Amino acid sequence: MNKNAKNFTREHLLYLKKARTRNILVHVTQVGILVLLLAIWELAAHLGWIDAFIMSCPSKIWNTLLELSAGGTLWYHAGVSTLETLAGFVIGTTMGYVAAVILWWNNFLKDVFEPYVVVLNSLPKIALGPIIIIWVGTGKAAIITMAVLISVVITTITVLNGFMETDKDKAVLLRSMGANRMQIFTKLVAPSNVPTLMATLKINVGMSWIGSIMGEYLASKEGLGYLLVYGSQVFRLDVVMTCTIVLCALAGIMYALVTMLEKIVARAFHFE
Amino acid sequence: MVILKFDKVSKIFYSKTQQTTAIADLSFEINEGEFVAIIGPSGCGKTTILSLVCGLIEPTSGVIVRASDSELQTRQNTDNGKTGLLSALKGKLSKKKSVSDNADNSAAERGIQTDAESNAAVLQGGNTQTEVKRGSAMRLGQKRAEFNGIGYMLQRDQLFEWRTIEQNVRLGLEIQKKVTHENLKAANDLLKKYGLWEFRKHHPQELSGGMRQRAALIRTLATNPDLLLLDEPFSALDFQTRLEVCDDVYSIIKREKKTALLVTHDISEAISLADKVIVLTKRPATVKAIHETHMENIDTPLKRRQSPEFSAQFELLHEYLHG
Ligand SMILES: Nc1ncnc2c1ncn2[C@@H]1O[C@H](COP(=O)(O)OP(=O)(O)O)[C@@H](O)[C@H]1O
Ligand SMILES: [Mg+2]
Repeated sequence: MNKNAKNFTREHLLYLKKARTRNILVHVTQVGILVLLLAIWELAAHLGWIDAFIMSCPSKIWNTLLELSAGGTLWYHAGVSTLETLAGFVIGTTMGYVAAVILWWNNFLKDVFEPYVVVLNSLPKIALGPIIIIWVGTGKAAIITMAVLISVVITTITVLNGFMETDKDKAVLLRSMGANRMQIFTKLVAPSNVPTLMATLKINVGMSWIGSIMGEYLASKEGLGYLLVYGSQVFRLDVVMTCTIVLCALAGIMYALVTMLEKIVARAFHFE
Repeated sequence: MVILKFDKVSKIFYSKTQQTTAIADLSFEINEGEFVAIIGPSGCGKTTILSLVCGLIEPTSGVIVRASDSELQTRQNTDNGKTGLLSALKGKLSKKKSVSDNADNSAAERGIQTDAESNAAVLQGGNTQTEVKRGSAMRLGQKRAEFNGIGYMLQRDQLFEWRTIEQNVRLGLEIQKKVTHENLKAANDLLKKYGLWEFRKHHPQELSGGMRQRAALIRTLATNPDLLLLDEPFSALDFQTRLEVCDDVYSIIKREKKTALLVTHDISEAISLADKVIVLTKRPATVKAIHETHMENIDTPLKRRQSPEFSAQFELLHEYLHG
């Protein structure tokens, strides 16, 4: 709790208690909805309202989860996808950030490359799938390339926007002190855009998962994307559902980690 | 001794759709130790003047002479009779010059040298001065604005919220690569002297408006500039705080024996702070009148505001400004 808590008035404590109660209520409702939906689903399958073969049901999914993870298959595929996603995430974010720095640094380059960036951004990257396969093959490289492609352009656009919106007056202050472009970047533009970078990381969690799963759909013998396609081809809907749930969980964990990092960094940089 | 001189300076901004003459044929001088205020209506070109003084932008025509420029200029032409301005020498620039005389000169020093040469040319060039100046501005378009002994305090305090007060105060020293033991001690002394020492580990957002303004002033003083530029430094504060901070800033500047150039649209602020008030016309700004306040004997801006001369001077300047 806050170290000032002992100085709080009775009314203030009451207010805090109310806020806490409300918070708990929100969480309880969230879990409640999930449980309710699962219960209805299960019930509907058992009573024959829906076809359990096509729709699957929670108990079947649970059994599949146990079965697939017992042999280690599920965790192997999940591990492959996670590694590909992480690689795409790190490479895409880094390359996008570096590109943004270069375009910020040189106004001429920025003006030249602006239309290219816009076109690349609106291009559905999946369309590049065949080209990627021809150029880099069907292995992990192709999948990571896809994940990079999807996250890199949006990173450049978001980060460059942040750079361009950096407080002009603060830059004038630095220039009046004799700062060069490098110093303006390291002392002002980079630190004041740490929140932008954190927001980009959050976007890129989603982007790199899209990239790696899409890549695995196209060309792969392993990974959750492969398992998903396989499950649907052999009409094992419980496998498809299980993979989807594992995927949700992994993406959720990665997002939570980035959110934690964001909080730590915000505290270190005193951004409110 | 003249520390800054504007000689028929004009500045025109060009854009796709129009050109704006911000200042036209502006001439004035500031002597060492003086507190000069420039007043003019909003949008008349006051901030532009300060950017010109800093060297952030180049004049379209006319000449700006800073004490350090003339020093450089005199070094190049040792016997041209301009040695009167030499006493402003602080050593730092002459050191740079001698480095650039050696074979291994970095880009920054080359920049300085070219600048010095172009200024020398400007001063001697007579009628061709405009051409030379414009040429140099183009050639050095993106050059690093070398620190020229000027401390600029902008409209808002512009403290960096991710830095502590102490780190904010050191910003100028870091930029100029002058983080030495003595300079840090001098910065700490300023923090102690002006009541921010206990707050040195705090972040700006934890301080009151008045304290932030004081921190901004100490940051400006930390690089030990010869000339302080203040751009409406109190406009973001409420009236009560403004009077306090005004007294604060005035006493610090006087104690540190700095030359200061304040721009504002507030007549009472100008009279209560300055020895000399330069009244500008509407845009394009040019000098309409120069007014001496003669209130050196009254030691704080607040007391000046309460003195009998104050309202008469206010009337006069109001007449100049709006009449
Ligand atoms: N970089 C610029 N480009 C174009 N016009 C400018 C620029 N800077 C200032 N101006 C114009 O010059 C005039 C004077 O501006 P400024 O010096 O900021 O006035 P003040 O500080 O007195 O309010 C205004 O009309 C403004 O629009
Ligand atoms: Mg202004």
